[in-house]
Amino acid sequence: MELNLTLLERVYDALRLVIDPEIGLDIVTLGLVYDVTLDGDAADITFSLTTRGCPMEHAIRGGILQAVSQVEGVNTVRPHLVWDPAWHPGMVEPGYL
Amino acid sequence: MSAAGVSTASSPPLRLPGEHFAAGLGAFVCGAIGLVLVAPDLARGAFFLPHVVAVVHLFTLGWIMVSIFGALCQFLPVAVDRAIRWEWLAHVTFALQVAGVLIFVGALPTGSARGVHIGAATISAAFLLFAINLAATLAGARTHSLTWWALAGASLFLAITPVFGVVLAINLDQGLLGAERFVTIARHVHVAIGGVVLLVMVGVAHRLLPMFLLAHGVDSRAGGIAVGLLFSGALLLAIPIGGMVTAAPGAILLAAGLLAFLVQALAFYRHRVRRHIDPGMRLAAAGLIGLAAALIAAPLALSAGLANPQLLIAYHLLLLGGVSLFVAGHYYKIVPFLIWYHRFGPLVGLRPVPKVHELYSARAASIAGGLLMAGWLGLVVGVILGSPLVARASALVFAAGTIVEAIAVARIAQRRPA
Repeated sequence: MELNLTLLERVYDALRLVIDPEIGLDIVTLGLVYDVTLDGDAADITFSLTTRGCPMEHAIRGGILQAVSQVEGVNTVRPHLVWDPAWHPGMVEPGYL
Repeated sequence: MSAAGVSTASSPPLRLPGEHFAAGLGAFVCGAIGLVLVAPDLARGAFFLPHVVAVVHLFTLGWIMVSIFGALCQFLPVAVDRAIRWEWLAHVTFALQVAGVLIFVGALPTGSARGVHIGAATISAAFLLFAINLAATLAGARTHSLTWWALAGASLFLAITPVFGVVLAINLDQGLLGAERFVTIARHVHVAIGGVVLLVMVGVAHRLLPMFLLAHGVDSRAGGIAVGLLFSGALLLAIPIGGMVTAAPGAILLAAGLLAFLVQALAFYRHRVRRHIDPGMRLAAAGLIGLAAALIAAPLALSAGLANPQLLIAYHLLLLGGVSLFVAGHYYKIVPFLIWYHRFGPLVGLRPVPKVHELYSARAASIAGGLLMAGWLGLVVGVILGSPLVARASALVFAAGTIVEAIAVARIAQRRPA
């Protein structure tokens, strides 16, 4: 369990490399990462985008894949895009906007 | 992500919007230098001079329209989830537009009727081909959003606007319009601005302003009303018969459409979550304020007509200046993002990458914006006061702003990962 918590933290840290270049914040700070679950060496990343039907999905998905694949102990990365709940600016970590 | 506002997997290669933006900025600088030359004429109320008309078209056809074409090539896949239908045709359109503007603008001051006709025909071909490409792209869209309707309307007027232009070009040496010449010019200007430029601005702003300003959940009914009013107004003005029967209601509908757009844009700015407004959005806001001023000046200027040429010129300066600043502001949003997307985007997740605003100097952008706004405002004041000195000095300031902006954007284009 302790190992998983550490791995979870490292996955979150890796996800902070994936930024929204316009807002200038990473997807964790923006509150776009809804959930991360670990199953052995597989990481499931549940995320959203700031706009429904956002065409940057592939770029974000690619960034998540690249970032989390670098984490030692993770061999499989599975990004899942969801729209429920819809993202809103209130989900951003306080003090960043 | 908000960055999705300007790019998708089906976006064209950087070269397509890039060539448009480079040429657009070149025309912006050349137009501004031309403005320095013609500013005293404007202050004296003389605007039906060939070299003045040439400068005006450097701004409208070379700066505004080339920028719009480039932005649409990039934006269409985002707006309608379809890549531009014929990418090769967009390159052809670009080449025709640039060649046409060079021929047309070069021929006007030299009095070459043949050059004016060839230039006008070439530009018309570019407009028509772009309209076809735009319509074909929109036809493939699965959903019809406000942006879709705005761009569909603009595609119609892209085809109509050059008809007026060609008629006016032929009229230059054949005089077939007679006393109708001035009314035809007014229709030409307002169909182009209302039917093409403003409709595109409404459609693009509906998608981009909420993203750039982080203004989510804003009621967009005013934007929808703006599309309907601008389309109806431009359509009435495009009917070359009926005199004031079609012109007056057309102008009123256009004005109401512009007002609705300004209300919509104000709502986006007011409901933004990020309180800090970056230099690009500040410049765009200044452009919107200019359009509001044009709206107020329109009834006075258009009713006075040729009886008060300075007021008429000031009105057109507010109108074209407002659009110009709105476009210039978006260069600081779109160009850095394109460079980021193509050069830094593939590195996301592998290493820290710069943010969009880190690709340019906010100070340089603010200086450029300040010069553009001060020069433009001074020019309007100089014309109203009838002072050639104030007008020329202000045009110099404006020209300095265009040069600083062009350098700033060129430096953005050179940014690459270390």
